[in-house]
Amino acid sequence: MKKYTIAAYAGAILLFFSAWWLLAKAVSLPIIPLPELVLATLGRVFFQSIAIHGVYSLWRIMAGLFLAIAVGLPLGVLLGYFPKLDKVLSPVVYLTYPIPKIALLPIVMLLFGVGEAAKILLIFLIVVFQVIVAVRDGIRLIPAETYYPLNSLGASFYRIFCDILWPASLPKFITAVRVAMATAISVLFFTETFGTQFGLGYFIMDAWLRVNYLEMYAGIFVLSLMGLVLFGIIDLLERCFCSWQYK
Amino acid sequence: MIEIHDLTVRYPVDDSFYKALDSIDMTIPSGGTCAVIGPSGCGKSTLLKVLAGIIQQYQGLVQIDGSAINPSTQKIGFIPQNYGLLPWKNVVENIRLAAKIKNTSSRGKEALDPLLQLLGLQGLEKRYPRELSGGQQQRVSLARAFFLQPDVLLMDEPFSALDAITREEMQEVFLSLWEKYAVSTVLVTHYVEEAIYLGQQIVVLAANPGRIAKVVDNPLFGGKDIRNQQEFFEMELFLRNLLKQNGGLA
Repeated sequence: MKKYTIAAYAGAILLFFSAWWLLAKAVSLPIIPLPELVLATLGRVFFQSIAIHGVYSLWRIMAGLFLAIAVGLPLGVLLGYFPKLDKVLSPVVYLTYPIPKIALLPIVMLLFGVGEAAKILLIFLIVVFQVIVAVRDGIRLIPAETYYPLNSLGASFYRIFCDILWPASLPKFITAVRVAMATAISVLFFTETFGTQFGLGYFIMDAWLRVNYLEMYAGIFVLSLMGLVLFGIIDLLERCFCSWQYK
Repeated sequence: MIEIHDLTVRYPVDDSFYKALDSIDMTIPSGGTCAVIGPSGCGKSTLLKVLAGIIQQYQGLVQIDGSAINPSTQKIGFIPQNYGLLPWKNVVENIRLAAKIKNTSSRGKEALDPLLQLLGLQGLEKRYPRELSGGQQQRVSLARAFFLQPDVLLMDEPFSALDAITREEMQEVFLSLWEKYAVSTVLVTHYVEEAIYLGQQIVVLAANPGRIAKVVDNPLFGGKDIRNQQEFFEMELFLRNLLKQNGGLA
């Protein structure tokens, strides 16, 4: 199984680079450079300039993510477990959920400045709703019978949380983070094109304006790689903590 | 001892109430077993949920060993219809769960190992419920209940989902555990045969609203090889007729 997975991924990577290479050859324009040139540039400028931008981007996305989890997880658990609370708060969640958070960028920047706070806040706003809704729905789906043995033991809310709510909603929660992550990276890119001199978004746009397409591609490559690694970590966490699902 | 006096349970349905149980009276002596049998919708499961402390809105008196039902202070072992195993916990974690919640987790391997052996669960300790057959899951739920050393054991259709051969085997396993640990047991079933085999006392319920049709003291309980005796068939026929008169045979 493992060998097969590695082979499949290697195949996909090969396919991706072949397609890129063929396209570059066919178009033969500076706007689509050959992959080997991009990789060579990346090797040259990574520690020189890209690394520090990558660190900034990673910090913003992690901070936004942790903030969203810290707020969204407990809120989702409470809404899922106490239907009365859900009745009161659901309309609020539903009314605010479909607002495209990216459109709030100007407001967030006016209120919180162009610094780190605004960028992290925007990522937080995008991820937090998905976490709340996924965790709440995950807990709602738990059949009533699951609680019976614990109820008949007089289990405290803390024990019910540890033994039922947390493990039952964990897979849904992880999926929500995974889905939200892709959006969060896009938003990150967007926010980094304003009011900062650090971050991969800035690096990519700056290279574009300097008409340095090779560096621009190197930046896109690193941003994509960052997304891939984050996805991989989330998968790994799921395999680790939700292994019962795969039995 | 379990005492139930004038127990009535109503469920809210839309704007009115549905009476699930009506003036139930019964007594189960300490260390005894009681099989509750009746047509579907007669409130068998409701009765069990009251005893388990899951339904707390009821009228009447329900006591275990002289005090009202309270899951926090009493040790109630409850095995629901689907065995109540948590899919994210492996066999040993599931077995220890009840004792852990009751803070008797100090009971270690020396208590667990004989139980695993008796139930034939060795080698399955690290498996998850979905990797087990129905019979194995049932064994785990029995292990959990007996590891807790409960004051009272409640079982809701415990062997219904099993095939006929596994069911008889599990009934044997249950009886041997029950003899060893001597715990007062109430089980709900819709199998007449199972009621005769496992119930010292057999309570026949009638439906709409759920009420006691008859309480039968079962002289056959605990006898050797009773399934092949004439009296067993006579008792089975007698109970079947009782059930028919009281709202059909489930």
